[in-house]
Amino acid sequence: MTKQVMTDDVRIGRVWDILEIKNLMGRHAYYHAYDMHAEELDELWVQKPENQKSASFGQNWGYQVGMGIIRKNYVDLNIKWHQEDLDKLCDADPSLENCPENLGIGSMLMHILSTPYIEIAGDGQTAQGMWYSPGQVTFAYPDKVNALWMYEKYAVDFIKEDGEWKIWHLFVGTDFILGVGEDMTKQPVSDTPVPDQEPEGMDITIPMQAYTSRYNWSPYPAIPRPYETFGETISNGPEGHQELQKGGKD
Amino acid sequence: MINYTTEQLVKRWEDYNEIENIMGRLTYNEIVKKSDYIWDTFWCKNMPDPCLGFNNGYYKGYDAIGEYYSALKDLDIIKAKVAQKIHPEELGSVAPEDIRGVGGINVLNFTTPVIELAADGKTAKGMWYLMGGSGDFYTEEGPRGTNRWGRVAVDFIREDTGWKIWHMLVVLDIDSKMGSNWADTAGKIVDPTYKKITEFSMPAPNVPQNVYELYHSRRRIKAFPKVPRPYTTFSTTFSYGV
Repeated sequence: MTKQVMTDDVRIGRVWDILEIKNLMGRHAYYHAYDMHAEELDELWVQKPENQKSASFGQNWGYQVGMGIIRKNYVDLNIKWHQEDLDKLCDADPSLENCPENLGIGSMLMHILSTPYIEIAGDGQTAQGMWYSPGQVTFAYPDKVNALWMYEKYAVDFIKEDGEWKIWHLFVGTDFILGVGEDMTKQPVSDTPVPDQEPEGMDITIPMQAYTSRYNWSPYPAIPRPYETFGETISNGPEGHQELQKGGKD
Repeated sequence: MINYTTEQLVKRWEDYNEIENIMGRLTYNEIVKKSDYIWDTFWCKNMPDPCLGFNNGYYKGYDAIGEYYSALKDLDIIKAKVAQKIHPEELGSVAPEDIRGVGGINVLNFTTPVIELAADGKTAKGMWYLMGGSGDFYTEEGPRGTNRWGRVAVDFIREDTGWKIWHMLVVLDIDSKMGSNWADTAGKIVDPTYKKITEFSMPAPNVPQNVYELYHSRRRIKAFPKVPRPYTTFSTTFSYGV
């Protein structure tokens, strides 16, 4: 990327781009914790049809591509899982009411965002960011509560739509999941610390091992670098994974 | 979408930084137990009804919030005296005020920011997730490490001396002993060595209410506090106070 001379108004605009992207990701974290997944997809993710088609949500076990499948998993399947969990809780505890207000009862999650690293493209149309996320997920079952630490790497592509930054490709690589109070060294070394199969019922467009922390090494997602246009950087969508397998773009 | 001039954007960026710095300064002053400094320096002086909210209610008004911070200082002094009894050779010869905060550290690690400045530049709203933790040798149970995770939401007001906290809400999801499952509801086991600490109680909120529940296995998901959204002037947005 060649170093450009930018005017002051362009430079301060780019400073605000970074702050707006931080706010956008903060909103994502709270909407997720608040179980406001439909609102998140409507407000924070890409809305233009051409971007919705290529939007992706990647995790260790592969990619969901397109907003239709992302919504099916992130919104519809999430509600289905909540209902199944509530049914089990109600079966075991008849005093608990099986009603929409109790969907998600006893569950809690927070994927904190720390250590931001954000690059705005030279052309100002896209951006890439990386965060580290210490977090927790907690689920109530009829006979126990499962409280887990979850440590993850977030790698995200953003695109500007009508002057507003939107999430375009979101990749979450989980490094480890550990029961609260458990000793990490007691985890069997022969297992992958994180499941490498998608949860039951989840539709995946490209099933693959996109990320693994088994040996604490994964070339993907790529650490962002300064870039001019999106075509010259490595995407946090599935095509970026293929690029890296071929050795990257350098 | 409002189009600001370059000069306005620079000023607003400075405001954003100042607000982030207030939260950072809160963290580092809390670590060294400067509760009186926090109250004197970071809170507004001229606004009606400042509020400090927790899970069990709100301290509303200058007197109530001032008493809360003053009580924190009193508790630190009591803890210092307990520490002197346990370690007379090392700590016995100094004034308790001089070792205020001994044996304890409370880290307010603010993460996941969402900060919105009003278009009129007079107020701002911020939200953070608190990934907090404390280690304290002097609790009613004796030495204890605690995970304190929760949601923090603040209304800021611009006064003559800079940005100040007007309303602050700190509602915890988790307040549990390190290494334990936060769903465990086992009660605390009080150690008689630390009786003086047990006898002290913080002033109760003057607006008591069940603002937010700590995690339990029958807690519903609650979208609270609201996440800040872009706004023009404070009258057009919600408040984190009561």
